[in-house]
Amino acid sequence: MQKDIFKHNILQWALAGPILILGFSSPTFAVNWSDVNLNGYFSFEYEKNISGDPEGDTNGSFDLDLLDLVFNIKLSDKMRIATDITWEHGAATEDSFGNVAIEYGFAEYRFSNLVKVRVGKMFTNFGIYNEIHTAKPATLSVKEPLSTNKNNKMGSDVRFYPRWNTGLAILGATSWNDHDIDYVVQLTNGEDEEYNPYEEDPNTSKALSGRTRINVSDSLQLGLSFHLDHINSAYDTSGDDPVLTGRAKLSSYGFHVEWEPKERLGVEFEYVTGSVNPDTSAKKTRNAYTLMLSYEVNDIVTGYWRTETLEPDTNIDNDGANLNVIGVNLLIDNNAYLKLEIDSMQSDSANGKFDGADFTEFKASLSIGF
Amino acid sequence: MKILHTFSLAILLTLASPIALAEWALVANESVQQESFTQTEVKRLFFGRITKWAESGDVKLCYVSGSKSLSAYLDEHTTYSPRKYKSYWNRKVFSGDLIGPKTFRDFKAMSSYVKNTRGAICIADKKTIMKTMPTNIRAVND
Repeated sequence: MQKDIFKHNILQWALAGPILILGFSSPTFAVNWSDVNLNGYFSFEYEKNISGDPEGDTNGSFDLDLLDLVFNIKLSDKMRIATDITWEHGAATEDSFGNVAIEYGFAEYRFSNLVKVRVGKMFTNFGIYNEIHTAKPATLSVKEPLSTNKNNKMGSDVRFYPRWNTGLAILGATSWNDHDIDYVVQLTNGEDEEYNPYEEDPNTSKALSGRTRINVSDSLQLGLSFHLDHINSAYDTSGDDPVLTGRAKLSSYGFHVEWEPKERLGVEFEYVTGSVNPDTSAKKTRNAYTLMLSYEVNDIVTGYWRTETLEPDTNIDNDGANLNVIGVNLLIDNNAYLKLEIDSMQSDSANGKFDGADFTEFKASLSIGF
Repeated sequence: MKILHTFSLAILLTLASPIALAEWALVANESVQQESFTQTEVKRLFFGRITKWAESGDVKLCYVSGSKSLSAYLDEHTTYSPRKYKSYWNRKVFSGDLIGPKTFRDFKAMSSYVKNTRGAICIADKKTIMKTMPTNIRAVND
């Protein structure tokens, strides 16, 4: 009996001990709240197909697009941890609805402004939009450009570059002749559709990405980007475990311009080209561009117009798609934006996503940053 | 100096501009040793291109949200509207690139932050500073 009580006490202490240790541990290693910065954003959307073929959202739907919390935790003068945690589409894990994810979570060590090192999960630094594609208060339109960012949603088999990656990055910024220049180079696992590339590289090839930007003046920025990888491009998923059936070399190169030729008038241009070269079939060369003009009418109203084109395979004549967007972005409160726009999609008959469908959607969103 | 120690605030005015006409001024925590700034330095600070002080760690920026002082600064020395400036920082912060400026609803809240935060430097309304704390501010280059 005494032995049982003794055992029971041991078990209690075994369970309670770590809790007590955590509860009463010295705050020596805790971060002060003054070293933690909390930001975030919220986005609520409505979309409806209003004419043309029945693509997109034909019912007209409200979407709690996302709620993101962005934390910056300063551990020292040199070290910080940054993360963006997202709850998308009304995430409800009990019902497998929506998505909960770490958009990025990395530790950064700063040697100097010119050299910083990051490790963790990061956005792929490519072009204007990828790092802010979820941050709706940071963009004028309801969605970021499809053709140069989400080309798989416009007819491509594979994206120009993955949204996220896990690995190492070296980055920095400097000033030369009063022109600000920054750069980033990322060495990562790359992407995969069957295995978690944020945990394990599904192949021996590492992805290499990079970007440099120069502010020629306050009103003109130029940028160059690239992404190279040798991905697992095809799996046989008929069995219990996916079996690799094909690999492909992926290479993408981008050029972008952000220009304000006149006060309140904005121009954005982005061009991406590259290829997917499967080991066992023909190489596909693809390219895309997007051009956006915007005008800040006053402190509240900004109008925008954008055209986007994707050519998924230059060897096929009738697989392209074109999207035109016209809209207005209203600053309705401090960092709160109401966006209203019309999106018109035209696709060719061999387009891999829309098969020649043409349709127009009305989109609206409320985006709030904090 | 005693007054400065009490309030830990200093006004830092820029060297190369018509200061007397400016509607905006800089207020900084006492730990910020630098007494004057060129327009280029101010711009580099408030666009996140200078992120460290030589002797007092991180640069911590702030301003009063929707204030005329920020508009006046941007109007005088940049091509940015307040909206575009906000958008600039939204991109920097949400991408994980930089820690953004703190924004406050009024000068009182901001001055408390400046007083208590090592490395803080903020854009403030010059008239408000003169009115609110007339005897407790050191005006550099004035």
